[in-house]
Amino acid sequence: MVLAQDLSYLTIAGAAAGLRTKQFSSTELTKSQLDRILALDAKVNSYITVTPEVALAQAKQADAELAQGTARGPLHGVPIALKDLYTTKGIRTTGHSAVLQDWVPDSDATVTTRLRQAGATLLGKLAMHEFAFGGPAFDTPFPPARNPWNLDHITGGSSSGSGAALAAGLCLGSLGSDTGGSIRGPASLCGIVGLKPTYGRASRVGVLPLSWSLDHVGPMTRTVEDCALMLQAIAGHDPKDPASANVPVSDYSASLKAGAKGLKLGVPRSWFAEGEGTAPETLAALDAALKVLEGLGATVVELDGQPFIDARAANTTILVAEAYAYHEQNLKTQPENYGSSVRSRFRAGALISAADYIQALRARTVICATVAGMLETVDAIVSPSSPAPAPTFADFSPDSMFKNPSFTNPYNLTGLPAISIPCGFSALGLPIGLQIATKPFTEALTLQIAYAYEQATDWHTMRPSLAA
Amino acid sequence: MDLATLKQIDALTAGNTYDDATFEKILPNFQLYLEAREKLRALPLGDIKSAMVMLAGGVR
Repeated sequence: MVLAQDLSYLTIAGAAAGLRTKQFSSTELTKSQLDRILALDAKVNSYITVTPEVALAQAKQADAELAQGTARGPLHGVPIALKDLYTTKGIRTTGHSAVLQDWVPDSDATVTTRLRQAGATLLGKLAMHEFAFGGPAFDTPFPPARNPWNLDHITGGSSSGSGAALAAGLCLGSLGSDTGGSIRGPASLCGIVGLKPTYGRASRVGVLPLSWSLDHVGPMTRTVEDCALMLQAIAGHDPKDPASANVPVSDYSASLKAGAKGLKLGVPRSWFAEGEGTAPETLAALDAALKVLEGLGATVVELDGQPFIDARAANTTILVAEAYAYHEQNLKTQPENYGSSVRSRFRAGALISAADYIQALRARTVICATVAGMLETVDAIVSPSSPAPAPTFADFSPDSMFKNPSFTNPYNLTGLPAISIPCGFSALGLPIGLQIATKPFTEALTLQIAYAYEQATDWHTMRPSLAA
Repeated sequence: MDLATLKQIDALTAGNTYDDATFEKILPNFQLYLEAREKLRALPLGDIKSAMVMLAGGVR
């Protein structure tokens, strides 16, 4: 008999093995997660909506199918949760905003459907930054998620609930979304794994948009192997998404164990000193990680950091202009239903001129070509994921985001796949993340390098101490 | 950029009226975007054309 507590931090791969060998049932696993959510989430605030009836019905169905020998794959019977911008048929989808507080969609997002078809059980919908923008706010209908490593600290965002729930053992996998770093930021600050796939790799149909040309959806998990399993379930062409790429989907688990030997890694080190720079302990963790990768047989070379620094202005301009276009009507008719931070940031987007937007698109062309050229000389580009560990809520300032390097947004601008994995802890015990980016549609390589590093270290085995 | 100028520009563009407290919160965000504009204008873009949405990997 397995105790409920023992199931809390199961990996997806571990859960699949346990279900296959009948060590526990999907119903037991799902119930243990629901119990843990009930016991702990009042501290973490990672869930907006918990869906026990849905989860247990899906678990019951999974158990019946597994008993009959019908196996849908590694997610079959595994409890997951979704950032609350994925539409879910019959389950409210709020975007963490009063604007959509009571909206119950009548259809699923494409990736929601794919996860249902893969047999995952849905524990609920997760907190986020309002409409995937801004920062943690206290004037929205739901409280901001808190960092399980220290509840006084933020999680990063905008996939804040996804990062918090995984770090706290409140789901086995999640989907986030990423327009400037919203998967990789919280992954970094919460000590988990988050992958932003190539632009067009996973469908965004039924996902609340922030910025159409920068939005990506992707998996957030506790291990790289789990990330590969979730990406496998959601990747693929969707003709309903005009940006969806009709490119064959790789087997993301097949080459996980191929190692890092012989790979050339580029490090754009001058980028790390942009503005007020990167925290010394983050740089130390990066250097230690690079030594580990060199020890695995990779070589490290320096790259020019300027294109990555230039990316921010283009990314910010495109994002805010597109976001305002989407929210324009609601900002006029119901501004009071937006939190003040996100309303102000969206609303300022009204003042970006067409010429500014076009200049940003032209800069995007140059930066895409420059970074593509770099990836002809190296296999991957490595950097920190975030310039510093998570600040406290009291110390967090949205303006601070512009004072330090943004390590994530260049890969939204270029559409390249990029992953954040744990690579250390600060003196205060807060996680630090390592980012690895590769060529378009080479997620298998991104995951391979990440897995090699992960297996050579034990950061991914660390857990916060959250008393039940 | 001061508050009065922001309100004038806003009246000519978005055209709806917020109270001063809201505009005071919008102002620092707009100033950040103005900084981004200056950085974009400083880039040597030459005769580079606009790419509306990048073609990921050029394979679509």
